[in-house]
Amino acid sequence: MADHDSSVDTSDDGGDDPRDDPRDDPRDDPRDAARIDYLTGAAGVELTAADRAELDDLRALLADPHLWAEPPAELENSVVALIAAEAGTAPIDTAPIDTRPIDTAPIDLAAARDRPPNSGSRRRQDQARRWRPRPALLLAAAAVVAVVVSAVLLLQGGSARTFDVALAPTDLVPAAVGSATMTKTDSGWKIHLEATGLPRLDGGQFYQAWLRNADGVQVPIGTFNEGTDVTLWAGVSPADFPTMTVTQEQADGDQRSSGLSVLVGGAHQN
Amino acid sequence: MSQVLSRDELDRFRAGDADAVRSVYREYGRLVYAVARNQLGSPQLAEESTQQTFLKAWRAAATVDPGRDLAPWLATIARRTAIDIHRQELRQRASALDDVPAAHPALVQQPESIGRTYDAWQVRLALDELPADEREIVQLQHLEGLTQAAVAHRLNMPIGTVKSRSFRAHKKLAGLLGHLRDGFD
Repeated sequence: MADHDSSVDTSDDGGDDPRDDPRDDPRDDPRDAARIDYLTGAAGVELTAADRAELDDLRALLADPHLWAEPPAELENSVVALIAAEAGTAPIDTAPIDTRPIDTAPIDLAAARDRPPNSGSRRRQDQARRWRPRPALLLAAAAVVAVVVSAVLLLQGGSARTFDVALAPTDLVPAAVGSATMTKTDSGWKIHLEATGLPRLDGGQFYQAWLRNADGVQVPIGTFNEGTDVTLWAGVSPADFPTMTVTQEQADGDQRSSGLSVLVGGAHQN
Repeated sequence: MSQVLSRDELDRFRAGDADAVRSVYREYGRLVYAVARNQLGSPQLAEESTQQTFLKAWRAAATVDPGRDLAPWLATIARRTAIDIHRQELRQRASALDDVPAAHPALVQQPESIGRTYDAWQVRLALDELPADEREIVQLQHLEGLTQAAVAHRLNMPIGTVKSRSFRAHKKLAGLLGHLRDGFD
């Protein structure tokens, strides 16, 4: 709880606010006025124990930093990309096209985990690395490839059950994009992933792919170092676990997802 | 404190139209994220919870009536999502459960903040209703714990102005949150 000023009184001592002093409103119930005074931190306010307890709860909430937290700027694009991927629509972004070369340097996962959530420098970096529309073109190309692959599979294998996934980037690797085809086999779901723009991860760092259901339960479906021609296997159906994500991980003994998603998309049955 | 979507906006949101999704996020994203942070603490988990909340909302958008205020509906989804993520985190830490006594508080108690979801949501909504100048004073007083004199010094304004704005802001908050009276968890 914040340390309130015990010397505060409710008199106006020279304020130049052009608006009327709200404490002069004759319609105020004295009890309500006392409650408000107490909220503002005034000392010596007479309140019932119940009122005091209730207002202390409210003051505790107001002092909670989490209540005032602002979401990171890139979260908006992540939400839009996630839903657009689920809906099978390409997200719209009017930001100028980023023509910078793709950074292929290894990603410092420890630094990524430890970075402060709302630091100004990170915000500036994130704004500079905001998602660009170039991936939308690549997504379209990937979708064409996926359709062709699906057609070939149908021609070759008859009525094999398949799902396609168009994978959109997050702010972590904005240049990344990918697609996956999931094919039902007797052994499980065979997943072929093609992703571009992901820097290779080595030295104990790697990518991990997951399928997630609507309740947020995630099933790991494989790990890899770079995104070209990756084969993954899933023991759960994409019909039940329709969201595919790719995260950055490191071999630290923690089997949980790092939460550092670099690609995300929704599975759609062909 | 009530925002509604038109039929057209809702249809576009259901279709996954990026502009419509972005519009809904800009209206409610701060609220959803604040509630997630309040419950889960971790920024990363709060981001995950926010993403899942909007994804679930999109999937369930067909059940929303046009003209209906989305806030209570989203609040319910946000709360359930955060609880699910909290439980999932507990399950994923289950490898060490065998070493923990069955009566350990972490195993038998929900985190305190879970029960305050609705209150947190409502307080955040009310804060967002305040004019920026009043909101800033409330933030400095409660979040930073500044006295009104310190707020006046920080903002370089007369103490009387700070007092009157503070009183006005808290009066609005009390009015906006009056329905929570006796209901704080």
